[in-house]
Amino acid sequence: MTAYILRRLSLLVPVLLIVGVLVFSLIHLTPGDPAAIIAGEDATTEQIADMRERLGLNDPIHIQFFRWFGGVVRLDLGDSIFLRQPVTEALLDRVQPTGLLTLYSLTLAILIAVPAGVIAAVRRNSWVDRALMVVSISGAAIPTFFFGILLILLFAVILRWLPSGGYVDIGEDPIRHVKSMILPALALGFSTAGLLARMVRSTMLDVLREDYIRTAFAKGLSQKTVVLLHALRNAAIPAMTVLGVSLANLLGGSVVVETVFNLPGMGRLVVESVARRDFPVIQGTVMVIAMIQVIVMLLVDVLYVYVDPRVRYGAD
Amino acid sequence: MAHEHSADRELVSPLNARLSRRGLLKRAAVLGAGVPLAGSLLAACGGGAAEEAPADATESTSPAGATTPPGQTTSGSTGSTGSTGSTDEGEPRRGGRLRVALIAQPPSLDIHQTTGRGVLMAMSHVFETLFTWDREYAVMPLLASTYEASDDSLTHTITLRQGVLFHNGQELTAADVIATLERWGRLSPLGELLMGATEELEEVDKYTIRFRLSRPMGIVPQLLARGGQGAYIYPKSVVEAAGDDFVSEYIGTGPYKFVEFRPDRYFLLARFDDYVGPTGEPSGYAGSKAAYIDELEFIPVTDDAARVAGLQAGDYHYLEEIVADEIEMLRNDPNVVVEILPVRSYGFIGLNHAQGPMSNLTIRRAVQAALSIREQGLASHGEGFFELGPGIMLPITVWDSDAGAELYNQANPVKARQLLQEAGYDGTPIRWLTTQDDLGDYNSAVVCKQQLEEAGFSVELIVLDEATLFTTRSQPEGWDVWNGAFILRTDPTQLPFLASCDYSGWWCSPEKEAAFERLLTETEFEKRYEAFEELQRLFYEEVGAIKQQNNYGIMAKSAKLKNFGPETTLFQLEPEFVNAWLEE
Repeated sequence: MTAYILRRLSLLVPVLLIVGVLVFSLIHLTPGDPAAIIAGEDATTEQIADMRERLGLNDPIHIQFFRWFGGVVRLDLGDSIFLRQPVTEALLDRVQPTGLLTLYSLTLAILIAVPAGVIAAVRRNSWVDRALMVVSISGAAIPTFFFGILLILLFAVILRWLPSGGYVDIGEDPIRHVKSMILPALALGFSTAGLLARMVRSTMLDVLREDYIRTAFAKGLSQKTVVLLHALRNAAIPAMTVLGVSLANLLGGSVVVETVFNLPGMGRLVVESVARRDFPVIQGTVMVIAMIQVIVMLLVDVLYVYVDPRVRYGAD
Repeated sequence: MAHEHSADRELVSPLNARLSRRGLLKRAAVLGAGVPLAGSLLAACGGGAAEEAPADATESTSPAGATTPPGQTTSGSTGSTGSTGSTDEGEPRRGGRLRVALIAQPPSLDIHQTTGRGVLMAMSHVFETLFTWDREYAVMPLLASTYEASDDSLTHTITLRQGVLFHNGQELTAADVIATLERWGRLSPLGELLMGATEELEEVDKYTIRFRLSRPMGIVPQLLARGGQGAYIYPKSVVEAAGDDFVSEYIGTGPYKFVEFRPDRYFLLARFDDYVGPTGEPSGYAGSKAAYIDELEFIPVTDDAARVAGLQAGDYHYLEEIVADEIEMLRNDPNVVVEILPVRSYGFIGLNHAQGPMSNLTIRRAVQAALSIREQGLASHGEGFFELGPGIMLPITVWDSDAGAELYNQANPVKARQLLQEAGYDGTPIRWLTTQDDLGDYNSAVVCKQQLEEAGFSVELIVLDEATLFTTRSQPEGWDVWNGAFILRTDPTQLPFLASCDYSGWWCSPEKEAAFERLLTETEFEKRYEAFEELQRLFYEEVGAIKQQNNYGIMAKSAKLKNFGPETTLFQLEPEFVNAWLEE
């Protein structure tokens, strides 16, 4: 098992190298640079050229790449051109909003999707099943930004129960923090819940047709015991795979939600850094997100072992 | 066209309550000249006495010390006046945190280095200039106390108000001003203009500086006044620590001091209790400044819908920008006040004189003939949110001019077609750069494309993000036309396409350069105005670029924000929140 984890972790090196080369090339091949943005709309050609020089953007591209990647190897992602702070610091400042948003959304998605999927499977083809699936399809189908704006209109503008946006650090004021995260977590979690509920229902239906489930019922076990102890655990493996992918999607989806709810997270940092061509931040953030994805998928694979005793790694 | 132009102006006149052009000219005749300007400024300073400052500090920061202006009338729905004292909006209230939603994270808070409007709005509360503008855009003293120019306009002497404190407790002196101006001269286009003509900048005494210029210049106070990348005064120690790099400490003399900057979250200012401000009735950006609100918080909110929802939800008190589409919805909201403001910008089409079809004057004239500006205004801003006008300086300034008006808004595709034939246009597609980051600009480009194609052009719209557009248009290759907008300039020397042959489009001719030199060096307003009219005429005859419609501003604020509106501050160079207060 340890050997397997180490082997998987060693794959991070080529993955990050490929991601680094791709991101660096894509960004630097795209026209537009931060000098024109910082110099302002009235800047003359000469003033923009001066700004480029001051920002070190006139060096040959391969020199810029090796300078940047050399730093990455030493865990130094460089300095933001726009924010005037180290990229690592900018990222750390944004880890909490994105991390907690992902955590809350995922928790919400699981709390909604697992009961909904199980109930829909147990009561298949009933009106309960149909109603739950209509809701879950809606969750997956409604664009997150649109759902987010609907939530803002209802809970912030009309009812005035919750803030329309903004972020409060959990350590600063936990109650205001919770209030600031309810709507974004709901917007992001609802779409994930839709997908997850359908997956849980589908796998539960497959499992409920298995012989050992019939045997369990024949032994006189209650429906609750059979469904929750026998069926759900076996249905959890495909659902966990979806959950792993969903986590990755949540990190991607947070880009939209962070923009709509004005949360200072990593997703918004990427989007805004692209708009202002803050090369070191884009490169650094994409590298970190790629690393998180690889680690999350590894964690999901490791969790299989604990959920399903038949799964073994490292014996091959 | 002329009829349409004047009708539009009548429509907006009552709203703007602006001065007539004749009135402005009369005033400008006084303000434009160096020596008479000194007299005007001296009068504004209360006879040139410099010792008013300490008393002013109390008045500027104390609601109790505020005064009521004589009979200012209200316009619009705010019902506010320019007073710092009791108004029909009630008694001033001290306290609260004002939350302003900006459209983007500013690139830097170093105001010498960026033209960002959000930075201008926020940091003008922290930093101050030597001069500023009153509500009629006449130049007035701010940190300056007196100003004097020699008869030949080669020597300009400025005395500072005494007792003005920086937020670090140090007193403002001539040494701070000189250090700042030298840095500003290296970093800002306006600074380059003034400092490039400065042979010597001398510290006469602790509170007096003197410019010795290599050529006459009648606009020294104007160049030193409030504006994007303006000459905002920093302490000498801050300037020396930063050099030409971005400053790391934001220390000014303004009514608010910098507290905290958390990128992409907010930056926070707090009232500076030892503020020593100017005296006199508030007018535009001039006059006394009472800081009733405890804290000003500026929050970047990039999503349009989120900004508007936040205003409605009571999370923000003022929006830096709002699109016209949102207005009707907000007008029905009792918690929000919306008001149409006087013109603050105009649409602009840049043409590439350096390469491609637009380097041919006849083809540029064909473009000029083909375009119907009214339709472009309707597409970009909507009915009721723009007016037509040929002036390349906005009509709220003293520089409004009809020179070249016969070539403005021709909407004549037949003439355009003839000109194209004459030029031997071979159908090469015109590469038009635009961006959907500003939907108004994009809609305007789409309409322009249609109008040009009706006249026989082939047009290829190249839709880019703003960063790419800025970079692409700064190089001669790969494009023929771009469109965007210019916000108010207070003096025509600030228009980059007039001031430099190196600005995107590279419009240059000996006649233009000669006229600009006269504009820069003449000291009497009438002569400067003649030079400007010559430049505007050349702008149309040589088709330096295309001037589109004048756009009105839109103010959207919370009903809790009192004594704040077009009667109490100006919006063209971003509003100030001094003399305003928050209702509980």
